[in-house]
Amino acid sequence: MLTGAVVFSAAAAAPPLRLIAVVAVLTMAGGLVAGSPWLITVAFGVTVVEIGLASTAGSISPAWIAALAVGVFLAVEASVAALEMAGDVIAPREPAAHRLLVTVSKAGVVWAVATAVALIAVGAGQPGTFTRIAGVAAAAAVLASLTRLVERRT
Amino acid sequence: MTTHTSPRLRLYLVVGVLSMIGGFAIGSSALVALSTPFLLMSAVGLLSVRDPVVTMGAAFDNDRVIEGDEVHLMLRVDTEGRAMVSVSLDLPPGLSIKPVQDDPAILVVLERGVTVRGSHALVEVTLTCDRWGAYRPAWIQATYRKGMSLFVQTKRSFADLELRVYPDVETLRRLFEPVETQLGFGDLVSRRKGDGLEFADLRPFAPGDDFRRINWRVTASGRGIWTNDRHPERNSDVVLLVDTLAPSRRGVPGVLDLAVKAAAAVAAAHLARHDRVGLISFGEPIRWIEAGMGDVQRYRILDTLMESHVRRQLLWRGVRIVPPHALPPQALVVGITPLLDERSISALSELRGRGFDVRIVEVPPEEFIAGSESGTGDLARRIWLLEREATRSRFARHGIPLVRWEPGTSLQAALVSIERRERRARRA
Repeated sequence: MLTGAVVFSAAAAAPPLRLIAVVAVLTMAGGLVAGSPWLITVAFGVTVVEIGLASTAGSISPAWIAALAVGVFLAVEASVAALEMAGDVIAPREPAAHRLLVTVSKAGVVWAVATAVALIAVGAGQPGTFTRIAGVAAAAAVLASLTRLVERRT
Repeated sequence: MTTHTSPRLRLYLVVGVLSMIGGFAIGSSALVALSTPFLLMSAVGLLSVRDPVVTMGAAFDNDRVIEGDEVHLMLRVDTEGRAMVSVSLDLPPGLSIKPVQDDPAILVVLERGVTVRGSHALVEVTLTCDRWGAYRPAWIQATYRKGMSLFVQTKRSFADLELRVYPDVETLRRLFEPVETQLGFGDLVSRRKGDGLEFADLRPFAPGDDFRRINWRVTASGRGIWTNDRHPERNSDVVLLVDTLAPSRRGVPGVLDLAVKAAAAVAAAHLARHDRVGLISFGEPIRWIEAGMGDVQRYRILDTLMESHVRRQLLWRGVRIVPPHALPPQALVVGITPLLDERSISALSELRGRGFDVRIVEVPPEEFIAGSESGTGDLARRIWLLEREATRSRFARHGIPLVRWEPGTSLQAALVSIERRERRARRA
């Protein structure tokens, strides 16, 4: 439901994007029913693509990006909680109040970081070609670093 | 120790990396803003992850309890730093964790464990013993999160635990009366004559007789000196032959449960009467305990009964494998059987043929066998019931008294009915 709210709010101003939103919601539902973390991952991938397309189409206001980030974060947490509660993945069981408190704290961090980055981006103005290339390279570097970290830790 | 990656990490990375690459590729600040918190949390989680030292221990406060009782399991969990740890136990069917726990350190009660908080937690978990048996939980497992909940680590330790849950048995007051008694002192009035309390007969005085046994009233009649003969109080040897060949799944109240409960009740009552009680656990393999007396013997019998299980054997030698000292001469053999296996039926007949006083308590299996809706199934069931009736008739022909102990009814009533029938038959 949360994923539906997120993707449909992103696709509100561009009706063709709703098809992608429907695909995302259906994949998410299938993933939750089957208890498959991989399907849920695909659903979030589709959601990000849909948000990207909506952003290009200009249907996402920069002022709302922090709320969208919190929405995606809550959707991630909700799907992980559903998998854990169904016993599809190994996890310790915490009291519901503790879990809620942690999720709300993290949502606050997500909102703060997303707002800060959005404000910096607005202040920096329109990026040039060089900035884009540098950004993609930076993203690739972040990806490589994270991959190495993940490999080391798992 | 095993580390599992939470789906959270994968989702954070997919959202973060896709958004960042897309954001820079299409020049969307919104996507970059979306990606940053997820990548940040992933990075912090990956960098902060470390392997904590977790040690665990468990012990029961009482290792011998009665069915239906509660037992406390003391769980000790030591973790580095303050962490929330779910501790689960290899809990076999028959033992269950009480849904409401008294210990405030327990945060969540799980089906097979609890979640505790604290670096040095010592909690008392209450377990309910739902079924008799010997339980040996093999492991304790701690599950905890680490690295911003991006990883879940499990550590399994060997649990050196043993709990024996004895069946809750009915107290029997009237028992089988054996045809022959033994030489030991007991509560049974022997048919022989000797020193005792019960009057048996009068006989002329003989040199060496105790003067205190002279019956002065009869002697006063002037027909010589007469003394009283008395019946001595003796014990008997009882051998319980418990048929464990009928397969029974653990945790399901089946025929084996009834057989074990009946055997435990009969053994306890005979031991209380100073009889020597032995056991033949007639299964695969056949196990036996020589006849003995006292509480130690009672627990030996119970421990053997709790280990009753079926293990297929290629070589079957029947009751002949039991050594003579496990079947004392003139012993009363009490067979507790569902009459399902021809081998146990033959064994009981064979023992009767060898001159033992045999009684049978039948634990009826009908209730544990599902009925059939089809006509053929119904016919098969009727034929099976007729075959069982024929087996009972066979025992009657061999002079073996048999009584059915219906589940939910008193075992005492069943034993009384068999004794009453037996007495009537002897009189006839």
